[in-house]
Amino acid sequence: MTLAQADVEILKLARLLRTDPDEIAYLRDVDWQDIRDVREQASATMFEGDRQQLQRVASATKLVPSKITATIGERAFGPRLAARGTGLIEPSRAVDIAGHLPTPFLAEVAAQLDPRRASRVIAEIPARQIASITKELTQRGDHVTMGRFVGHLSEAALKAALQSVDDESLLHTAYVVESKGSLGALVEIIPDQRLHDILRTASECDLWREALDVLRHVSDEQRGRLGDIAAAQDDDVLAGLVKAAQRDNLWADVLPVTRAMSEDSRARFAKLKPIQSRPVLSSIVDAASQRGLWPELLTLLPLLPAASRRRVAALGTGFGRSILAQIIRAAHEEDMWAPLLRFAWSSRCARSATPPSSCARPTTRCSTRCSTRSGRTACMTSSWRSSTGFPRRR
Amino acid sequence: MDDAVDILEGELGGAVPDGFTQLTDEQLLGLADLLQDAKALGQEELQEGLEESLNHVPRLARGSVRKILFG
Repeated sequence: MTLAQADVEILKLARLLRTDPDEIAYLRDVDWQDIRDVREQASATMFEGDRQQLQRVASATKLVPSKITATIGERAFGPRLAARGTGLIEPSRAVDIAGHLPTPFLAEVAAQLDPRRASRVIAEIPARQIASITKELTQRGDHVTMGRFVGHLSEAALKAALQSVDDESLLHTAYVVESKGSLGALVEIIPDQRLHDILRTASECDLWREALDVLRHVSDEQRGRLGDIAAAQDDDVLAGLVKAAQRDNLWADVLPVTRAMSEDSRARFAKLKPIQSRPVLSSIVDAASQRGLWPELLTLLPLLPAASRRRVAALGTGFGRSILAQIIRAAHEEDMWAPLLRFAWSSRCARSATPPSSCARPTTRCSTRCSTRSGRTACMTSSWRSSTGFPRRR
Repeated sequence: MDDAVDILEGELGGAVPDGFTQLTDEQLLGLADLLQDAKALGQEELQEGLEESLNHVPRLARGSVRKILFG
């Protein structure tokens, strides 16, 4: 089941406050970022309240061998207290102590730890130990804890963790990663074949929302790479993506991916059978309209089959002047007059039942004033500029 | 409403985000209570942990450790 961001934050706050998430379920109506802010405030005030005594514990660890400190941590303090003190112990010492602790206990500590307060310790824990803890957390289904650590692990530790987590758990974890900016670093070290498998898993386990959330937070280049890997999947996988996007209103996440992928991948995506239905096309156009994703839509439209272009053109007849101005502005600013005109021309051909093949190069059938593609674009741009007073593109 | 917000802010040690001001007094006070209880439990655990920890420290180091832990 996909958790909403607010549910994830409620779960984390409930852990900190030692209560059942249902007890504070009324926070679902609060913005998730506000819940996170309160959790961070609460964590800080709880930590600061005991800082002096925790600091004494950290100092005392210097007098006792690591092995004995580990025993004290496990038997006298327990995971919650051990987690609170971790960030105050000198990192190499903390890592040495952790080396004497059993993995289940470390997993408990991880669940209670505020990674921001122990970032240096986390970064120094050996990759093989991170792998063991990850395996333990995966078995417990504790994606929330794993998600909190992603931005704090070294590359070697991330690679080791990736080996210990299955694709389904990885998708769940990526969705709840606390620092979404670190998803790029995660994607960067995953080989293409693994990404291929992960996307297939997204389809099989109906986790496209999770997968698309990752695509939303990575660079354009990575989005293109992932888009190409997705487009190379079997039809049933892509059909699953279309179904999920339609059901969960995810087209605003899908369109940027189609723009970032290669022309070949985009062409394959545009020809998918499930895309061509009127409700799906309508949702795609709605998403573009609501989020201003006209450049994304313009790269896709000319690649649709003729019948679908005709449907989109029909949907466009309902656009008001402001929407049309948005589309024209997008074409102007993103230098996308060519795809817009290609779509407009081919839709016109489609309406007059002209075979699509004859519309493949619309610029050869340009107006009498312009005989070339660029000439036609330029003259239409110029004509539009003079009628709207729109500035010349630099 | 202001009282409940003040109480929660007192426990948090800072202003609550705007989104929390839409909660009812009961909900705000409930959160303040949970935070207060969590702090108290943490403090209790810490004291117990400190006492218990000495039982695991080697005799030779116990005096020094006790001095650091309890001053």
